[in-house]
Amino acid sequence: MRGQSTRLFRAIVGLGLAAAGCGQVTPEGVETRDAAGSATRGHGDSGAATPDASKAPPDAATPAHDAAPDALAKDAGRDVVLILGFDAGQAHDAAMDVAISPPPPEIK
Amino acid sequence: MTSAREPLSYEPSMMRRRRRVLALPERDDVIDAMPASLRREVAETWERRAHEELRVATAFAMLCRELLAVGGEPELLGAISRGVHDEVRHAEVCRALAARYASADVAWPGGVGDEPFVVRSDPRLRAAFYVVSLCCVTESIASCFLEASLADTRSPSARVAVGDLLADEVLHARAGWTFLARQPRELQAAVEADLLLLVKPVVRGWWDQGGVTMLDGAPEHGIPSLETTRRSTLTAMRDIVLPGFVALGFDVTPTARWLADAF
Repeated sequence: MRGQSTRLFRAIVGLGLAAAGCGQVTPEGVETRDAAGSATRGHGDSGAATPDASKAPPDAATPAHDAAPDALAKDAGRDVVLILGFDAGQAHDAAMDVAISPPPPEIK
Repeated sequence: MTSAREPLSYEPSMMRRRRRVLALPERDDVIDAMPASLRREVAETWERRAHEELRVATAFAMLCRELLAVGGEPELLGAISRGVHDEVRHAEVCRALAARYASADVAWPGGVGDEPFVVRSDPRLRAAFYVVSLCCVTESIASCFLEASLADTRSPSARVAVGDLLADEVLHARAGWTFLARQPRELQAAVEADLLLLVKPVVRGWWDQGGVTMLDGAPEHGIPSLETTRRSTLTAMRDIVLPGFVALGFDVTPTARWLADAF
């Protein structure tokens, strides 16, 4: 679940901030930028904002597939390009691809 | 006369590719193998989900009206007005899927009333709060919920439907984060100050049983259990929503503390 959500973080927040011109999606996560263009922080996991994990339901622990390859950075990069390329239809399809594609066997 | 020009920054939010609403596969052996009673329950659940999609369409319509009143930027207006249409289309997706499970026609869902709205006298603040609540929080949770749904869905028909919904929810959520990132610090500070107030009802809404009748869900058919729904809600808050606010420099300590204490 956590791996999936990190993928979603990039697709939602990462690309949202990128569209606003204050961040970019990288293979490591999302790097936000301040007004001067300096990198401020990176995200890929929740860090300090995480609620107490001990209160979460028992199944919320990191599953085995969390270690599986996550190629969303590549997908998300393509999505950014498509968004900046002004084709919402393609961006929608890219989001769809992210949504329905099974994870690739390995990261290239 | 034609003229070459640079694309407008907000053009993507107003463009659509013509496509079928929902191209269900002709055969679905997973559905065909279901016991009749389960098939009926699943059909009823997707029918209820169709009605819920119209409720979300109403929320987007109300937000669209607010944004029109305050002179919202074209990119956001494009995304939010598209959200109205997307959610109406989602209702059709759910209705069509319900009909597939029911092996019978399923009626278009009935009317819906107004959705609760953030109470603020300043219309700009009210609109901004609503964008944050509906897009940044609600649609991010919906994305996580649908991704979890998709992970367990085996019916080809349900996979097509859930994947379609998920792709749109990602875009709806993303529009909220783009909007918030572009706001002046004063408005961001106002959102930050009331963040817990904005988040609480959304999380409670996802956590509560509400109209859910299949508590164990029917995961193979795109319907997660209530436990999975709740877990998805917390996961979305932990891994998407709160880190998103942190990325914008917000102090999320009170909200994170509430989540940890309440759930």
